Amino acid sequence: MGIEIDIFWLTILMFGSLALLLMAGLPLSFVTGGLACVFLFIFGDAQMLNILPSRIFPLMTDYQLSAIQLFIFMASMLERAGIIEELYDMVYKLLGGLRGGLAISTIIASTLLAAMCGVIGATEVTMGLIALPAMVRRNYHPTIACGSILAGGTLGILIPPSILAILFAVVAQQSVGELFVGAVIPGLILSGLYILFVIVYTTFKPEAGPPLPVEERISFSEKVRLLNKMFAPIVLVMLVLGIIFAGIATPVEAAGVGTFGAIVVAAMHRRLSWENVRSAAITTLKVTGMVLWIIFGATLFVGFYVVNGGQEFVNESLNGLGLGPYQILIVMMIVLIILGMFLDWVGILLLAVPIFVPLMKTMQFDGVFGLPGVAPEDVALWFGVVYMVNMQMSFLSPPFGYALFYLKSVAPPGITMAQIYRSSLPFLFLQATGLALCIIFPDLVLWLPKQIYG
Amino acid sequence: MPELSFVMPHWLYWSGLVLFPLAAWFIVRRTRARSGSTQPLSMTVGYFLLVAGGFVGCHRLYVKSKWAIAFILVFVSILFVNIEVREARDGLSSANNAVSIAESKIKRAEKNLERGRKNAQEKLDQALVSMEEARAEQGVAEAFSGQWELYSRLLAFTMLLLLFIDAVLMPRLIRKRNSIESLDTAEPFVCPAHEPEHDPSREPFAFNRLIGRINGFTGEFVAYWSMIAVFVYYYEVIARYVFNSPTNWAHESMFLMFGMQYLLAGGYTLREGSHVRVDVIYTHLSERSKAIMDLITSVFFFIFVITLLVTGWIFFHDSFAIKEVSFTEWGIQYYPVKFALPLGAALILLQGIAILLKDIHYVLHPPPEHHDESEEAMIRAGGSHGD
Repeated sequence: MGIEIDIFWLTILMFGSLALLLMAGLPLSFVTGGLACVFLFIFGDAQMLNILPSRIFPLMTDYQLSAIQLFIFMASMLERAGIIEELYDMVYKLLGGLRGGLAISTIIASTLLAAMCGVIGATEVTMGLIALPAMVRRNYHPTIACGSILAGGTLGILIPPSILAILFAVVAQQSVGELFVGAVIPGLILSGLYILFVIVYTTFKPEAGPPLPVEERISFSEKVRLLNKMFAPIVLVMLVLGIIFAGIATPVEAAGVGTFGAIVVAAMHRRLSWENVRSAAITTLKVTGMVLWIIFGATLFVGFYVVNGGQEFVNESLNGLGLGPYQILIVMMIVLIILGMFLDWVGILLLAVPIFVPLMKTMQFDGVFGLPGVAPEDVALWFGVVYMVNMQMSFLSPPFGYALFYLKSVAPPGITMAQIYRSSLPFLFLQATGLALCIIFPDLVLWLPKQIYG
Repeated sequence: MPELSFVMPHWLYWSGLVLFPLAAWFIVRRTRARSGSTQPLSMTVGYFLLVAGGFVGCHRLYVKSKWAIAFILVFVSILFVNIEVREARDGLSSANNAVSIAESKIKRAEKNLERGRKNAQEKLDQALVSMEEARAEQGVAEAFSGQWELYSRLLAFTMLLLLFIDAVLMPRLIRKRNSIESLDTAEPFVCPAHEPEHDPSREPFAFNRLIGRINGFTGEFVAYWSMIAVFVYYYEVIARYVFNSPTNWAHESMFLMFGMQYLLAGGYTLREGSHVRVDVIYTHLSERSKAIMDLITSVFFFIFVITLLVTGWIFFHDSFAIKEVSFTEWGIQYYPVKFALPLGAALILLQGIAILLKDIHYVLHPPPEHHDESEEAMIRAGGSHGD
């Protein structure tokens, strides 16, 4: 119909109707897709609708996106092989003798699992099923018990191979490998912060995390035997990440090889059956189907907004506030956290990143408190990792963080939602600390990629 | 190492995409009908690992034998020797180049000599000297390259021999390991995060059940494609690093396959309720209000999907009219890939109509309310976010 509209009103109209329909419960992919069609028709013409397939088709032929599929398949295959249970079993028998040992093992096991899966659901649910009852039975304080599962589980989207990193790389035209490498140190720092918190907490309140009774601990030789059992999956993960980091193969090829390795690991754990392969394939299909349809819809929606000058509008209005680059970054972080309370991470990525990243690239980050800043060519990589840490936070943030609901869905009856909310707070604070560290010391993110990719 | 020059023929690609999932579908149904075998190790898996990953000792890992290390060592040395072979080949070809440059110099100098130009004799002498040098270098390079080629052949032969021996030994290895492991009476493992699948008995109309079945089959069909990808990428990596011959079809064939998969999975994902929604308000509504909300918002769903169906069909039709193929060396047909757009849209549209009918039915004949919080929470966790 070709109606003209001011970009300010268009922004309000587009995002207002988006919020309204989302609240009404229509899935995100159809909200964005449907609205894009309506707007294309109203502010363009029927001919403009032909943009749909020509926007979607490049996504269908995108090479990097195949990595999502393969990494999820690898993780579900390992999950079907019972790796999550066995890994936790191993770590907690190794560390059970420590004060707060079960919580520490939960975090360590989650960190290792995060290096196998790129999404958070499976770790969160399975840990909730096995680690939470174990800790409750031994009178762990709920804050320590739930919090360690919540926070540890969210590491999956930060530590490579992270699906979020792959998507960010595709949307922001970055190298997947660099993002993977960049997320390693922040991921380990966060994991370390969680562990430190548990240690400090249980030192001051020993009754919050009692060690295993002596008769339940195992001998050294038994410990070696346990390590032996987890050897294969750990080698597999190191192999997959190693060939990506060393640049021997692309992330997609590494994911393919990793999936084959996962099949071998499943065979070694005697759990390779057609039924398991089928259910792993179907789980994979559900997740990728969900993710890709959101991408389809959101690409159309954001594409329309950007073509109509949305990019300049956001740039100008942010610049009009008279803020420095770091203040704008903080504003973005707050916007992302608020979005994260309501929206799914794929949606946030697709809606916010195409608008935020070009803006970030135009700004100078000269460092804060006299510390070294970020070189212009590294801004996108740095922002990517900062963004990922932020997204991890959104999974934890009450009242709608996904991790909280995952945990509630499997928690023993004694654990209330209020307890889960309370337990997330100290870890949210740690998360914010980690985010601040990444912003203040950009080298935490950029140092390792520089060492590897030069 | 010999070079692999296999290029996936187009007919094999397309028929593989159809036949492999069908075969997997039948095998899954057949193994379900049979009672599970009691032995922990199976011969089929053993031979599968021998064929697919025997050269890194996967089958030996399967039977928990230390001989796996021998396979891995041979494999790693093959990789290292291959790097040398590649370098030796480069050296040889640059030596050959030097020789042919010297040859052409000699020819030019000889011609000049015939024409009686001055300095010609000098230049000829120079050229002859450089020819000699180049020949000598060529000889060294040839010997060097020949030596590495020999090593690589020897290693390949060792590997084949080891694999052959194991192919013969396999039944014994498996029997032996089975007798050890079946003595352990470890409790059987049940995967806890098993999501419930679609339950057709809760569908109100025959049409819904039919659509549900169509999308269920399509979903499972395209899900098996992931397995093809595993083997193709694996083949690509092995071909590149073991045989020094990367393929020109592996990547393209796979991302196109995934592209079709994303689209065709839409209907299945909708049936399983895996599309994410924002549940700030929605989850707190009663079942009936949810159905009413769904009816209202479905307008936007239909706008999107029908637009996609129509424009996707035009897109496909344009491509089909010129029998479009890709611009790559492999030159695969593009129009079947583009056909996934209207087909995927049609599948999701049908599923959407089925859900619409169900919602209407629900609003008109609300079933008795029963509130089970834990079940709801499970559905939310399992359904709304996948895995």
